[in-house]
Amino acid sequence: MAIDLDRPWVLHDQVALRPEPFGALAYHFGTRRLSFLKSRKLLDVVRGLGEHASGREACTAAGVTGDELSSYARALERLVASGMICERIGAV
Amino acid sequence: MIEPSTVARDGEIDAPSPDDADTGEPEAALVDEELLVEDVSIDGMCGVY
Repeated sequence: MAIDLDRPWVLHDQVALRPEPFGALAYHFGTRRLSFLKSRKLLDVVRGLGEHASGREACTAAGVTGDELSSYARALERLVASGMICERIGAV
Repeated sequence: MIEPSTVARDGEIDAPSPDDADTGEPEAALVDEELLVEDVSIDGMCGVY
């Protein structure tokens, strides 16, 4: 399922992020799923989701370039599919 | 007889100039070739302590 980057997203309440040199670990306490985020920039995107009006803005704020955007969109799609991030309800 | 392959003949081998080394290729091109998220299954690998 393609992610709508123009919608607001947020890290799920039950997900813990652990920064690592390679990026980060994301653990969902509800589903017991573990994911590797394989770049620090992706970590910055995920951390910033709740602070920006859209996924696209979070990507831009984290320094994601136009050429990289499709890769990061695919990464966010995987995080949505695993429940790590979800669409945010309400204003920033 | 094995001829050496590194013999310079009258300046035929030119050292690359600094400008040649900069191809302008973004390092982020590698990102397109790999997934940024890898899901790991740990069911059954952890116990309750």
